[in-house]
Amino acid sequence: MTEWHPDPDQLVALALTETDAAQQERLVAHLAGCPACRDDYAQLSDGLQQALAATPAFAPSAGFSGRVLTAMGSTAAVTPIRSRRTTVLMVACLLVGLLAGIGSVLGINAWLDRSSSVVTAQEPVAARLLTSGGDAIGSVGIARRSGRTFVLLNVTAGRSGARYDCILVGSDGSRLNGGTWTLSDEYGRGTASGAWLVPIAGAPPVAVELVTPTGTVWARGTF
Amino acid sequence: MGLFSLSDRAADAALVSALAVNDEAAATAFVRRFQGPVFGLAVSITRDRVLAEDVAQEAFLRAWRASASYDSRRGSVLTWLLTITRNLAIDAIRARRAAPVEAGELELLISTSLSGSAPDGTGGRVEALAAADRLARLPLEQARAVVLAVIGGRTGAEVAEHEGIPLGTAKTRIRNGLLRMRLAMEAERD
Repeated sequence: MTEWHPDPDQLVALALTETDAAQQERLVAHLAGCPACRDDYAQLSDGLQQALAATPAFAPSAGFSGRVLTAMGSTAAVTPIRSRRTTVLMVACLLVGLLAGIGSVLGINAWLDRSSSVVTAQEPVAARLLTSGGDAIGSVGIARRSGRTFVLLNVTAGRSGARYDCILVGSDGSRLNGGTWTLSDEYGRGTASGAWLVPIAGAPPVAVELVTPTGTVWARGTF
Repeated sequence: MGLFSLSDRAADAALVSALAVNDEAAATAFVRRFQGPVFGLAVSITRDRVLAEDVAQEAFLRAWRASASYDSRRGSVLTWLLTITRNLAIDAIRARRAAPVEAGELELLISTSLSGSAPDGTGGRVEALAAADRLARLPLEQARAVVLAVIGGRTGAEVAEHEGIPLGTAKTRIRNGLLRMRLAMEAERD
C-alpha cells in the first residue's frame, strides 16, 4: 500500500484556507506525522505571511479605534513594561547602527542592503537631530538600496501627537518637503517617537529639518 | 515623495506583551499602529467598508485575547495580526451570498499592493514596503496571482477566471510565487 501525501496544490489550498473542514482535518493530521510535508507547508505558509505584509493600509472611519478600545474594555492602569535601561539600550543600538552606516535599525536590517554600497559615499552619513536649544531629539542618516537613496529619520524624544513636515535642504539651499508625519505615543513615557524613511531622488540633502505646522523649525540635522 | 515608518519588531512585540497585561496605553498604541493595514486587508477581501470594520474590530479583539500566546519567533506582530484578519474576512465573505467583484477593483488592488505605498498617501511601515518590494520582484504573473489570492482573498478558481488562465496554472503561479517570497526573505537574512 502506498502512503498518501497531499499534492502541492492541496497544501496551497490549506495555506490559503480554501479547504473545507474535512479536508483541513485530514491534511492537518497528515502534517502532524509527516516532517517532509510539514516542511513543504511551512515554506508556503512563510511565503504567505511575507505576502500579507504587503497589504496596503487604508484608514478606517473616524472613531474606529475608540470603538475597538471600548470593546476591549481595557481599563487597567498604564503599566509600562519596558524598563528605561532597555529603552536606552534600544536607542543606543539604533544610533550606533546609523552612525556605523549599516542601517541597522531593527526590522530595516533585513531589507536594506548590507554591502558597502548601502551608504552613499558622502561623509558623514549620520547626524544628530538638534533643537534650537541644542537638545538632541534623535538622529538622521542616509542609506541606499537597489539604486534608491533614503533619508533615515529617528526621533526618540518628541511630543505626543505633534505633526511635522520633513524638509530636505539641498546644497543649493533648496527646500523640498519630504512628507508630513505624526509622532507615535511611547506608552508610559509621556513622550513620542518615530522612525521613518524618506525616499529621495537626486543628490542627498545637506541637512534635514523637522518643521511644525506653524513654520517653526523644531529640529535640524546637518550632515 | 512619501514617508515610510520603520518597522520595529522589538517595539511591536513589547506592545503585545503589554497588551496581555491589560495595559490601556498599550492597547491604544496597538490599535492605532495597526488599524491601517488591518482595515486595509479586511476591505481588500470583503470589498465592503462596513463589513470590513466589523472584521477589523473582531481581529483586534481576537489578538487582544490571544496576546499572551504571541510568539515573536514565529513571525512579526503585523503578519500575526493580518493572518487573524484574513481568516476572519474570508469567513465573513463565505457567510454572505457571493457578490461579483469588479475586475477594475482587483486591478487597483494589484497595482497598489505592488507599489508599496498606501492609496491615501499616508505611507506605510518598512515591513510592508519591503514585502511589496519582494512582491514586485516576482515574475509579474506570479505577483498578480499572489496578490489576488493572499491580499484579495480570491480562490484559485477566481484567480484563474480573473487572469483568464486554467485553474492548474493559477495554482502553480500562486505556489511558485509564495515559495519565491520565502526564498527572497531568506536571501536577505543570509
